[in-house]
Parts: sequence; structure tokens; C-alpha cells
Amino acid sequence: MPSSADRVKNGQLTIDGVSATESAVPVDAQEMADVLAEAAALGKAVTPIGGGTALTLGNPPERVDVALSTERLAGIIDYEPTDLVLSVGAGARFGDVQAVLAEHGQRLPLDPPGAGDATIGGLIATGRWGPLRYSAGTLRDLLIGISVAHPSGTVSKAGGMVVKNVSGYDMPRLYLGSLGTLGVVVSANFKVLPRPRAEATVIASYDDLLAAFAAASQLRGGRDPIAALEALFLNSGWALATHIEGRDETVDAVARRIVSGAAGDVTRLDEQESAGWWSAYVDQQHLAQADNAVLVRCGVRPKETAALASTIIDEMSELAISVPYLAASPGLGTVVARLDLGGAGSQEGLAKVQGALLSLADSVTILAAPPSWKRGIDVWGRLPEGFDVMQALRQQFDPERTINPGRFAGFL
Amino acid sequence: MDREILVEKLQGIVGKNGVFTRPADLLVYEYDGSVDGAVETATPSAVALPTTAEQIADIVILAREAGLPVVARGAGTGLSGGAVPQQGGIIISLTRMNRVLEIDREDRTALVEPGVINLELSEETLPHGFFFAPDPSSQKACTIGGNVAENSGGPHCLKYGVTTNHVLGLEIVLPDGRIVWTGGRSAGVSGYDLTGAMVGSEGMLGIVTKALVRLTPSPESTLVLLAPFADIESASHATSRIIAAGIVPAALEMMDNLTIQAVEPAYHAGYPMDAGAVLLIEIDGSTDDVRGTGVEIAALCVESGATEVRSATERAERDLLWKGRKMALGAMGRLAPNYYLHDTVVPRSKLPATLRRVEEISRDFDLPIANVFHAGDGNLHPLMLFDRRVNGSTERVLEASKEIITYCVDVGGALSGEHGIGTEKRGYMTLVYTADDLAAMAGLKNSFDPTGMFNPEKLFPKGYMCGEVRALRMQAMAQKLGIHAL
Amino acid sequence: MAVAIENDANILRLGGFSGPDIPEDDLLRACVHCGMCLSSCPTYRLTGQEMSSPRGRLWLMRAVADDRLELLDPLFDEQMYQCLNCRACEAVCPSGVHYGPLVEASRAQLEQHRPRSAQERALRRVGLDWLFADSGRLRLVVRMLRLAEKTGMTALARRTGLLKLLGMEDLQALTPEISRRPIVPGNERWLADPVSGERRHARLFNGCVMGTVFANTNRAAARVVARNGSDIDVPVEQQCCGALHVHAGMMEEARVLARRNIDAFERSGDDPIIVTAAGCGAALKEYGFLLKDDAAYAERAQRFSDRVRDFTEYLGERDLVPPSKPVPRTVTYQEPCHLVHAQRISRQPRDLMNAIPGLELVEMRESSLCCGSAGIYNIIREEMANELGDRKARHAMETPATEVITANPGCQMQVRASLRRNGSSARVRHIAELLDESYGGAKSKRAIIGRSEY
Repeated sequence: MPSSADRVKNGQLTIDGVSATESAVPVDAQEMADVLAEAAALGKAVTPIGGGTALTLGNPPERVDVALSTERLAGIIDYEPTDLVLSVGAGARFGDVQAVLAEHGQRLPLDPPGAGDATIGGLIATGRWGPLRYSAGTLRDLLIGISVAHPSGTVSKAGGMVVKNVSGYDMPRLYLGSLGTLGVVVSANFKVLPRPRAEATVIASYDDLLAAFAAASQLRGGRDPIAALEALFLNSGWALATHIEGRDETVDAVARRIVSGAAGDVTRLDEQESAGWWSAYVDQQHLAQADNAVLVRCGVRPKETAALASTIIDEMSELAISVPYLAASPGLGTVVARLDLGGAGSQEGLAKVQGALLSLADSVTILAAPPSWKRGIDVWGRLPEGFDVMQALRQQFDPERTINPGRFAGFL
Repeated sequence: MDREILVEKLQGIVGKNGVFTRPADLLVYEYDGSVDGAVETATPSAVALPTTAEQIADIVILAREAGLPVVARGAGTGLSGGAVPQQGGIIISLTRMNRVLEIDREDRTALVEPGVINLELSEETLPHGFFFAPDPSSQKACTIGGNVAENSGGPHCLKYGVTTNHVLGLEIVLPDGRIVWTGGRSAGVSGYDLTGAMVGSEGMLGIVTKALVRLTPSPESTLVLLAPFADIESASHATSRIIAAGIVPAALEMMDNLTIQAVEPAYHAGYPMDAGAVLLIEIDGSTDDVRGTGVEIAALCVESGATEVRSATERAERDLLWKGRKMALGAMGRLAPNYYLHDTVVPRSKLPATLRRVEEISRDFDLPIANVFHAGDGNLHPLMLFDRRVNGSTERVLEASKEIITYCVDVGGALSGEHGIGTEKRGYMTLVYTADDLAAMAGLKNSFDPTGMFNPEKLFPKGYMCGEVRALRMQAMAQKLGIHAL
Repeated sequence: MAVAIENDANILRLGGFSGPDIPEDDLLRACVHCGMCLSSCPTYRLTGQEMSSPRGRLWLMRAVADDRLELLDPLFDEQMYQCLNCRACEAVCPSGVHYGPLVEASRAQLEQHRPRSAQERALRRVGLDWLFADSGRLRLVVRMLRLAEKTGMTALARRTGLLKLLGMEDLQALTPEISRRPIVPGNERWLADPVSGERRHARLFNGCVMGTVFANTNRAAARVVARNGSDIDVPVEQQCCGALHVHAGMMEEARVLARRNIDAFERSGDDPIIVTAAGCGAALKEYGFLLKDDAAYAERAQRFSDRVRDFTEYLGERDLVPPSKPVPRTVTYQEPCHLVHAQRISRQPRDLMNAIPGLELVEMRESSLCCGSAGIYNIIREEMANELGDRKARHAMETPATEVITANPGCQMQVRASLRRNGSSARVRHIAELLDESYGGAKSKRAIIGRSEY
């Protein structure tokens, strides 16, 4: 895969059918801010690009004039293993960062799909997460400092290199998941954690949804060191994957107990096998656009996950939409599904699916869909409460709507 | 608005016994937990004690009509002057909104009103097998609303994180009087993370009327280790070794010799009087894990020079070991009539050097300084001991604390780890933040509260939110864009 | 801020405070208004308002001392008397502020400078000056009131609040528990069971309500002490402890009583003085402070205070002779403020209950929050006292306990009244009775009448 900068330079950058005409690859924070300020002054639209793994996330951009690569802001700025803190440029690839941390037995406990190639800046902009959220939270719980370039031509920083900090507003969390619409991340600081000493995964099969979620519920109610808990819909039934992390003896004991308690087929994976299985698992939720399929994520309060999964399956069957993939996170209250609309796929079809899902879930995000279907639909679903405060934020930080116009929630 | 009309309207909203306006009544709302002389105060026009979000919304609308600022107040235990009015106005005291509305065992959440006391939330959830993890030292008195406003920490945030990591959603009253929910029970709520922005915003963006918080399962087993060392260096070394071994204890606290001298005679917790420093380490989790980790930590401590390692698993024994730490402030009365509790953070590896600097400052200012701190996360709490009846002593303390802050910032630290900026440290903001950094924070403030009605004159340097600085900022921007005549 | 403490012609002044019993400036300024006291304060818990909190009241005192608030401002009076003086705040104060003496001094100031309403004055004078100033009078009144039950004179007594103060408000309900025969100091003595070691002596502080309405509880306590190897008697000429007077700011009256008690007990050397009423115990332990400016008594007062032991504290200091008779019941413990906060005694009563075979102790919520009794508080602040009483009753009723155990007569009466009001028939008993029951009760040991050693 060509690097994002190469794609930018070669004019290959196209988002949902909208192509960039110019490119910029700034070498430092101020240059990045200058690019933004110039674009703002000229009324141009800028799309920041990191690893390019989530470019299809969001609504189709209203315009893309300048593709802005963070590739040259990719260094590790500071890493003190004994302080458990890390400062890294936005363009650093997550996989590379994890490799450096691993040398010191540490990690950022985060595993969203496609994370290996994603950049730190991209992960902050999209705020994505993976199954590890069950135990480790998201970047929201790890981000301790940030530096951001704004369309005003300024670079602002907030937070710092300490894990506990209440010096001024908690700006890092505001930028997280804002899809760049308040500024482009230049660098970020994280709290890092020791890698668990051991891991194992137990995959148990169940005939039906109720049995699988009952088992999940029991695990959730206990105190075992469960790192992730995912229920996967299979045509023949359900599989429940339990990821255990901790001290060797504990991991072994817990895995044994889960294996012996399982009624049906059960497999235990240790160490490398376990890690490999999870990496393959999250890859199934990658954001690549397929011709007739959409990838959606629905959220409810965690205890309603089983009901949500079950009604989605029923509802889609009623709409004659096949569900080639569906996975639920019982601890998080989310269901991620790939829906095959077949020949019926269209903008109207997608709107109908979205409407149906919105009646079932508190939050519905269309993670990937063919660009033509997305037109006119807010893929972020329901307009959030306090939206006018969000509009005011956008106005304060990016009054010309220079960065990613139209892509974020409510077409901000 | 005429004062009498204001009073009448306030009474109409919250009832007669929910409003105070007599000067005598207002006297007791001119302070919080901050040290006298460190923060300024301006007596409010009125104090209202509402019981519902709707009442708060009505008060806010009334205040807007009357052109009065609004200051939200919880228990008033803050240490940076956050709840102390700077421009008078209406204080909204949230102490009567103190119900735990819901405990959801399955989803491990609690829905609470802002006036619920931190420790009592934990006590209430304990029978269900949970606790609320943030545990600031004032947890016996401070409220969840205050915790949200200050993004409170505590000894156990080393493992469990600070308040923001435990807040899932908030119902807030905005400065225009609307009531909105941010965040919520389910993952994937779209838009900006307004909940994240609200936590730690010192009551300047919105008034919390309900908080949906995460509950943490109470551990199966808890072990407390006490390890005395000859000096702070070796205790710090042990701390680094523990972290390097990939262990994150639930709490990792250090006390220096001066603290031990005050604490041990008061509580007889068994801290050796001749130790240069003691580490107090808490580990929790499954019984097996705790035992295994405990052995490892003990070995690391001994290798780093601990003269002994004592352990306690039973509640009463653990409480005794903790007592010296948790009640350290109280024991300071044995050394001096007054103390000023300072709060800064440095990267953990900078702790020994920072403590050396603190010792120098103590000598330079002829001011005894005891150190009790969260060694695990680099959060220092130098306790400056003085007698405020001695002329100029408060000023000396404030000067010394400035020296300490300056040093901490120089080594990459922060102004405050858990007390907040408020009025106490607003003057220091420019030590760490540039005009551009502050402008971004102002952007956040203006999005919620464009007229600056909620808790004015806090967090930002004096005069910052008034026109002149904004004008400078615009000028700087214009220059960058090459527009010179603005 | 410069605060002048003038000392011209014995007239002391601190801002708006003047005359004897001025709140001590240093004690006052020890408060750093950190707020740690808030959640422990019953009146703050009920009202949520800052002026009803310990630090709020201290701030008001400071405002008077700094001439920012008039001593006679209605708020000051309201707050000084709204306080239950339960001292819960003292127990949790990191700075060690002596709140009790400060609020008592403030009340003394108000007593000196403010005219009271006729009714309140009458109650105070009759109740505190006359009735409690002489233990013989009190015994007489209790007897008269027993008769009044039959003569219909109770209505009058009830109106003045006297019955409530004496715990005789609901005479019907109380009858079985009221002692028929008060203890007259000098008249009763219990001989020690032989326990290893030398024969010991102890002296019982009788107390007004304990010695009359609850005389049998005092007898039970004496039997338990004797069972544990100590002779115990009730020295003659002892008086009311003066706690109610101190709480009401009537310091001079309290000092008169204190001196008489010191005289009465000095004859018995250094023997421990055992107290069954937590409120009395706390006051007796503060005689040293009360008389610190009395040249003739200061030292003697402190010696006296050093001898005072709460009943449970006394037993906690020795190896308990194990009580043997099973008491197969479930109880919960209500901590008297003046035991847990003022005297910091909390573990000992629980240890004693846990030593009783068959007894199950179940903790209630907020066991150390004031029940609302607080001396004469439930008479002068009935509404707030009732609210606190209801709260206490609710917490007790949440437990499976059939008995509420406490260690102070005021609490005993207030908790009982609150339980009845809330529809519970649970018994409320003094811990001494519970222990006595497990040692075999009244039949096991009889008093020698008319033979007090002193």
C-alpha cells in the first residue's frame, strides 16, 4: 500500500468520491497550522490524512481541496518507561508505537480494527476502539496531553506528561473523536500500561443466543480478569470469546474454569494463538467499503445487548436483508453488523435500514457504506443533545469549516 | 433588577426556606476549603438551595435577566477557591440534591444527584459489591458534583483512574437555562465528548444536575504493605522498580520523616520514627493474585533497601496502616498551628530531584515542609507548616509555593494534580500555557457560556476573559495570515 | 486581622464577645474551614445549609469576634442553639478544633447578653437551676410525677417539657421499665466477686436521670462491675454533673455543681469513677477545662476528670470475666454522641456485646449520627429532633434487630419514642442491662443497702 503522503502527492486521495486537488505534507506543527490558516483564508477545505484506514468514516465530505498528511510528524517525542508515559507525533503508526512499547514490556491497551496501519492522529480523530474496551476503556482513558494545529494558524497544547492533571480544562477529551473538526492533532501524550504477563482466550459454542448471553452475563458479574468478551453470531449458533489477561497462574486457572464450565464445543488458545485470533477477529470489522454491504454499529445499555442483537437479526430478516456478519460486545452494549442489501441497495435502502436500527438502539453509526448511498444521510445517526453547543464549538475553533466540512455528526 | 424583586422571584422558584439573602446568612458562603489569604472572595447577592434541575434552570434564567453571575457549590471542600464567588451573584448550593437515584448492578452504573457525598455513594453501593473509585482525601464530605467539576483523584486513581474515567453521562443546565444530557449509558453517542469537556471544568460550563457514573466491583482481596526506608531516594527507587516490574498497585503512597514524626505519635500506626520515608502500598484483586504480587513487591522493596516490610490483610489492620496517611493533615497540628496543603505533579522519575528542591525551598524560606504524596503517579502534596498569627507568614507560604510550582513546571510537571486552578493558581497558568493554549480553552468556554455567566474569574489568568487579550489574539492571527491592518 | 483582647478591670472582650466565658480566639482560629466536619453534622445533614454546619457556626463565631456580625443577630442565636453539641465534628476534625467548648462559650455569651422568652426562661430556671441543681429534688419530682399519672396532672408537666426531659412522656409505655426505687447516694454498695489479683474499688456516678428513672440500669451496671472483681458504691453528696447547664451556656451554675462533685468524690482517693450516662461522662471528663481558671479547683478538677471512666470503657480496660448466660437475640447499637464523639469510645461497647454468648450484633446505618435527644434539645427544637429521631428509627428498623442498645439515658428515651412513632415495638436498652442479663441478672448479686463506703 502506498503511504498516505504518496497517495496525497499522487493526487490519489479520494474520499467517498470526492477527490483532493492539492496536497500538503508539513514538517512541523507550525507549518501544519499555517497550511490550515491559509486554507481558511482562501475558503478551501482540508482533509487530514494519517494511515488512511478510516477515510470512509463519516458523511461524504462537502469538499476536499487540500489533503493534509501527518506523515512527517511521525516520531516518538518522549518515552519514559519508568514513568509509564509516552509522547508521540500524530503521524506515527500505531503498530510501530506498540512495537517500541513492547520492547519495554508495555503497551497502549487498544485494539480497533486496522489499528496496525492507523496513525496515532487518526485514532484520536476517529476515537475508535476494539474489544479491549471491555477492560481497558478507550483512548479517552489513556490520553493525557495533546498538541493541536488550528485553522486560526495557532498551535495549542493541553494536558502534559503526567497522569494526573487538572490544570485548566480537559481539552484532550474534547478533541478525541472529533474527526479533526476542531483542529488537527500534531502530537499526543499517553499513559501506557504494563503488558499483561499472560493471556489466553476461550471460545465456547452455544446453540442459541440466550445460552451464549447467559454465559456472558455470568462472566460479567464475576471478578475474573477478563480483558474482552465478544459474542459472535454464526449461522449454526453463537460463539462466545473470552479474553483473559493477567498473571500466569490466574490466567490458567480462569481459563480452566471457563473451559470446564462450558456445555458445548470449547477451544482454548494460549499466548500467540490467542493474540492472533483477536487480531483476525477485529479485522472482520475493518472499514473497507464493499459494493452492496454496509457496516453498522449500534449501542444500547449493556444489559440490553442480547435483546438488541436478537431484534437486529429479526428486523433485518423482515426487511429481507442478509446479515453475513454480526458480533456483539455484551459488556459494552454494542453490536457491529455487516448488512448485505443486495440488489436493493440504494440511498433510500440505507435510510430505511438506519431508521429501523434507530428504533432499536440508542446510538447507530454507519461505519461503512457505498458513497452514493450515504448522500443526504447523517451516518452518525441521531443528532446528539446539546448539538448547538457543538455547533458553537465548531464555530469557535474552525469558523470557516475548513477541516472536513460536513463529515462529522450533524454535518458539522 | 430590584433586589426585593430578585428575592421574591427566587423564593418563588425554590420556596422561602431555600433562599438566603440576609448579609449574616451570606457570610458563611464566602469561603471553601482554601487557605485564608490564598483566594479572594466577593459576597454573593443570594444563595439558593434548589432541589430539582428545573429549579436550577429557572434560577439561571432569572440570573440572566438580572445580569448576575452564577456560582455552583457542592460541599465547599475545594482547595482552589472554585466555589468562592469572585463577582458576587447567585450561589446555587446543590447540597439538597443528594439522592442516589438508581444503582444498576448489571451495568455497573449509578445515577446520582450532584449533592451525593462521595464516600456515601461507595457505602451505598458496597452491599451490591461495588464502590465508586475516585477517592479524594475529602471523600467523607465532598460531593459527586464537586468531583465532576474538579476531576478529582485520590490515592487509588493510580490503578483506577480519576473522575473523568468514571463519568458516563451528565445532565446539565446550560447558561441559557436549558437542561441537556451529555454522553449516556450506551457506547457510540455521536458528536463531541461534552461529558469529557464538562469534567474538570470547575463549574464554568454548565451545572451538573445528574451524573451517571461507573461503579467498580469491590476486589475479592486487599493487601496493604508498609515499607520503611532510610531515605526518600531508596523509597523512590523501590517505586520505580515496582512500576518497571509491570505492577500497577491500587495505591502507592509515600511519607517523609517529618510526616512520620507528626503522624506516629498521634495514631501509633507503627511507622518507624527514624525512617527517612515509608511507602504504603495497596494491592487488590483475586486472593491468589494479591498474594503473588505482594510477595514480589516485598522482595523489590527489600532489594531497594527497605528495613522491613509489614503487611496487613484484615480490615482493621489495613485501616490502621492507612490511618497515618489519611489523617496526616490532622496530625500536623502537633507540629504547627497552620498548614498549607500544596498540590503539584511531576513525572515519577523526577520525584527525588523535586523533593530535594522542596527541601531547599524549605530551608530558604525557613518553613518546615512535610511531604505526603501519591508516589505512584508523581502527585506531590508538600504541607507547609506555619503560624498565621506571625506577621507575613501567609505571604511567605505563598511565595514558597510559587517556587515549588515553578520548579515542578520546569521538570515537566503540572500546576495541579487534583485540586484544580480556581482562583488559587490562575496566576500560574501562563507558566505552562501560551496565549494560544489559553485561547483554545477560551474557545471551549465561549461555546458553552459566551457571556461568561458561570463562575466568572476562575481558571483563566486575571483579566484574560475580558476584551484586551482577545484583541491581542486576533492581532496575532491577523499577522499570521498576512493581514496587517485589522 | 488585629483582634484586641482587652483586660481592663476584669472585663474581657473579643470583638462582639465580652464578659466571662469568651470563646477562645486560638481555638476559634484553629478551624481552617476544610469542611471535613460537614457530613458528620446532624443539622447540616438535615438542612444542607452552611450556617447549620460546624464550620459555618465557627465562622459565625469568628465573625462576631471580628466585629462583622452582631452577637445578638438572630442568626447567631438560632445557630448556637440549633447545634446539638453532639461533638461528632470534633471526632473527624483534622485540625483538632475543640468545637464543644466554643459553642458552649458562645451560648454562655448569649445567656449573659440576651434576654430569653419568659417560657424558655421558666423552663431553664425550673429545669436546670432548681430541679437538676439538687438530686434530692429530682427524686422527689419523679415520685410526684408517678403519682400525677394517676391524678391527671401530667398535662401540666407535659406542657413544660418536663416529662420528656425525664423520659416519662409516655408513662404508659414506660411503666415496666421505670425504676420504682431511685438510688440514693450513700445507700447502696455491691461487693466484688473474687477475681484474680487484689481487691479493687470503684465509685459509681449516679446521674440525675440514671439514678432515678433508670436506677435499675445503674444497679445492673454496678452488679457487672462487681462481677468483674471490684467493690462499687455510690458516694454520698454527689450532684448533677452539670452537662445540661454547660450545654445551655449556664457556666457558673455548672461550676457550682462541678465543685460539689469534686468534693464528694475526693474522699475516695484515686478509685475510678464509673459513669453509665455518656452525656454525664463527657461533662465530668471536662471538669478540668471547666474549672481551669479556678485557682482552688483547677488541679483537683483535672485529677477528678482523669478518674472518670464510662462503664464500657472501664470494662474494656480489664480482662472481662466472660458472661456465660446466652442471650439469643439480635441487637443493633446506637452510639451516644457523648460516648463516640466526645469520649471517642466506640470499640468497647461492641467488644462487650460480642462477648455475650448467643447475641448477634447487626450494625445499623449512621450508627454514630445523633438521634436528636441532645440534652434538652428535643424539647426546645422539637421539629429537628423528631426528624433526627425518625431517621434513627428508620435505620434501626432496616436491621433485623429486636433491640436497640445504647449507653445514655437521653438516647434511650429519644430512640424509644422515635421507634414507637414509626410503628416499631423494638426494645431500647442500656448496654449494662444486656451484660447484666448475661451474668445472671438481679438475682445473682444483691446490693448491701445503707452501706456505701463513702
